[in-house]
Amino acid sequence: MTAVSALGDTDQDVNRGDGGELAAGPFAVDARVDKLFFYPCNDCHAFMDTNKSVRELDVEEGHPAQLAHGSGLIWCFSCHDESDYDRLRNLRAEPIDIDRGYQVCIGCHSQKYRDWAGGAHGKRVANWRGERRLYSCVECHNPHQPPIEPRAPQPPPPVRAGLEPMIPGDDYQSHDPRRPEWEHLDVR
Amino acid sequence: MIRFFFDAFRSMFSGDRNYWLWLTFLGAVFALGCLNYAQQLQHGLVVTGLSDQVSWGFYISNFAFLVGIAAAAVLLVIPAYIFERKDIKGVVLLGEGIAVAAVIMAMLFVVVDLGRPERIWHMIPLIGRLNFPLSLLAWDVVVLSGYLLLNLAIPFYILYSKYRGVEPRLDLYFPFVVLAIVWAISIHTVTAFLFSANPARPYWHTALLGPRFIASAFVSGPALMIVIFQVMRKITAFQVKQSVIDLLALIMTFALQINLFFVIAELFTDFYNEGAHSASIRYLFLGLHGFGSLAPWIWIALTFNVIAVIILTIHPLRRKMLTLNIACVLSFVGIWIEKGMGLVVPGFIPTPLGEIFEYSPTSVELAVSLGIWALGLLIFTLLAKLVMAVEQERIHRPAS
Amino acid sequence: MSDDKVDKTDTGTVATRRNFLRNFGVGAAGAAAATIPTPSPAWDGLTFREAFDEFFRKHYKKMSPEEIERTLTRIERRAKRRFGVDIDCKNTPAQEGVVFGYAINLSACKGYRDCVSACVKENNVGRDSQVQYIRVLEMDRGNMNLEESEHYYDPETVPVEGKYYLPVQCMQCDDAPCVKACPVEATWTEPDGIVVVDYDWCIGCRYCMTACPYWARHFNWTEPQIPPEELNTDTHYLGNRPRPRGVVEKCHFCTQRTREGRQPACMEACPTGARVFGNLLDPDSEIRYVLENKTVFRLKEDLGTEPKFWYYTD
Repeated sequence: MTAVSALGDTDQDVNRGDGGELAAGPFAVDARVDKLFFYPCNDCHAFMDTNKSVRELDVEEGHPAQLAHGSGLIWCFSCHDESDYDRLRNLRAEPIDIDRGYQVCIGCHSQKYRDWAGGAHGKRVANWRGERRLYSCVECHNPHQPPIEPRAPQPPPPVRAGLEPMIPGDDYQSHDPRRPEWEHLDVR
Repeated sequence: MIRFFFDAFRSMFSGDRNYWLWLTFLGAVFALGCLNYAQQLQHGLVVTGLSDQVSWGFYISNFAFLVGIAAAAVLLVIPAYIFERKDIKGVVLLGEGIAVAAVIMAMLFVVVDLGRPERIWHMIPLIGRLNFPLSLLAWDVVVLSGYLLLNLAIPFYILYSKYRGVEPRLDLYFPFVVLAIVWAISIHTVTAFLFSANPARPYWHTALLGPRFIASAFVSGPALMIVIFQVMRKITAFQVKQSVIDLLALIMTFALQINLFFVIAELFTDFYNEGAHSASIRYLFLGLHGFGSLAPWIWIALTFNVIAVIILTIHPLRRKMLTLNIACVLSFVGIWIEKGMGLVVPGFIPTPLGEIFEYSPTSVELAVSLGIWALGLLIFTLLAKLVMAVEQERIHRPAS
Repeated sequence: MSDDKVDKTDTGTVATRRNFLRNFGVGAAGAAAATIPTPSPAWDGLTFREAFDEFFRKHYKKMSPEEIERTLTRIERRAKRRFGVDIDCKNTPAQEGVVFGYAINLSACKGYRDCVSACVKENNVGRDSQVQYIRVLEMDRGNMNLEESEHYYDPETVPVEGKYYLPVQCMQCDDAPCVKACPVEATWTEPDGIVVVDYDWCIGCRYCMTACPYWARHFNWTEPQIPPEELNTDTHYLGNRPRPRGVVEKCHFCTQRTREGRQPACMEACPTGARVFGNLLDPDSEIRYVLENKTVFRLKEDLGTEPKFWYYTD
């Protein structure tokens, strides 16, 4: 059972701020720290120099070296706090708790945040009424590689017991809704 | 009155060798049907070819067709009692016998289609809960039961009066006759509405379905009656005047012409500007996305009906018994296909979610259906025997 | 899909799935009967009084609380007989001031079908009867024609380029055509908006299935086969209690869960959070946020059934 971060004032501020009136009520967000492998970061980084030049990292497995996020417009210290590796930072260089990591995402993805706070995006856990618990953005989206990878679907529906699946006749042509003269254009 | 039932029973079950052969044959087919139905009761409706996609099939196809046959009895009732045609009056009781047999068959087809037939009492008002007037199926139950009662009560009164040598009192039964005429139209209209009430099924959701049902009923009913009356004329001493057959053939002609006009109207409306709503009729006539198992059947039905209407429209051919009989058989089969499988199954293809899943009846369904048809023929045979016995005064206990 | 699964029935007869399928092919005869699970014994494990009560039961809406209690007990005993498992059958009523609504984010649905299998397990749906309350359609992007959808998609991975995924289940219509169609009132709309089925009252005529425009209602052509170890013991009378064969069933918004504040199983199972569920009467609910702020639409709006199931995009 994951620890749920308390409904602190910070959440209320964020919640009731710009776009807060669109939110669907106060909520708590599931904690992240107990799901991280390389944490606390300062265990190693307290003994390392800080190199602020933008570059490709040469690090071991599990620690992201590339950033497939932002099309090259952001890099590590856009979100990570260089003075305290156990914290993140927002656009105003204020420190952000790892458990409140979604407040970093808000800086660029404000519309998505509003949808998430309102309930149109993301996942609510456990119940539909009562204490509202949401998944943080990073439960689904790896911030270093946010797009969700395709995966195999569950099997197709079965056919009634005793009947065979329908197989079309030999002269069946798959119906392409596009007109043939449009085929050279990529109208999709 | 008790003696009437004894005498009736006696008359029904006395006859020559051929008669007993006929009864035995029908009984055997019925028994085979019962055996197969027992298998269906044992394992559930999974023994049929039905599916969630096509959830009504051969049973309901026969049901829709037979309600039409039952309604067509009115074609004898109207000339007999309203227009006082003596020749028709001689056979009207047989027509009502056909109606009784057809209604019982129709009801049985619904019963064998039910998933939980032991719960059928849930439809009885007060002890169960009948969703009347909202549910069209509830309406159908009410009107079919009423029609059965009417077609048992009126002939019973007339037969019993004749049996007692008493003239049946017209003022007593005439109101019920009028009721029966209206009721006959209503049973088939309600059955049509059962299908046309569903906007989820564009193939059925047409105002034309009610008129189509009546028109096709007035083809298949007389076709059956013409053949049955000729058979009876030949093998029994029962008198059926030629004018009766002429009238039925004439009604059939108009009805088939109108029915074919309706078919043309449907085909034009659905194919001229073809949208998603035309998918079912395209599946039926031309096949859709590689599936078209019903297409040969509907084209055969259409061909039969066209040949029949040509024969019927040409006076000399209609008057000649050989060609008339060919027309009757062709149109009976044609309407059975068109109104049965050709109506019920395409309504489900494609499904409301656009899936094409075909249906064909299994041997269990066919055997049960044949059994019910055999039972219907059996019921009619027995009733006809009784009518003849009373008419010819072979059973007769005059009131003293 | 055609692997040989061994089905163990409560009578101990072992029938392989292939046998089971072959038996109900065209022209099945008595030889097959030996491998079919035999019907339950007399009174199905109930006492005579219970069986008598069950046959001559009243309609749900006419039953007194004691009669309902006895019905629940009967269902639990029958489940014990059939599956050897103790279940709990509740009759939690609809909550005050709640009308359920559901929305699916088509930008988030990737076609995994996790919802479909979670629903089957949660709701004790028969594994071999083909019944699945949810059907996910694979549609071409730019196309709303359901006739061109693919129901049986099975690619290596989803989502497939150029397609979107449309899960369809019971829409819990406010003006449900199935409720009107049922001749015995075995299906009706509850105060919280859920269209429920009383499986002990349904006569199996399947008229409701012809009436439904969303293909949401399904029929138990055969006895629902549920592996006893997978039986969900937390059941509701109008929901996922074990059903007999020959009756209609459908999605009921997981009455056993939602009437106690839990999420429906499909919503809980969805890994992308594409499903939004809540109380339409609560202005602060997520479902209301979606309806008020996103571009929503409903399927077959023109039929006037007033579904309580919406679709939207980001």
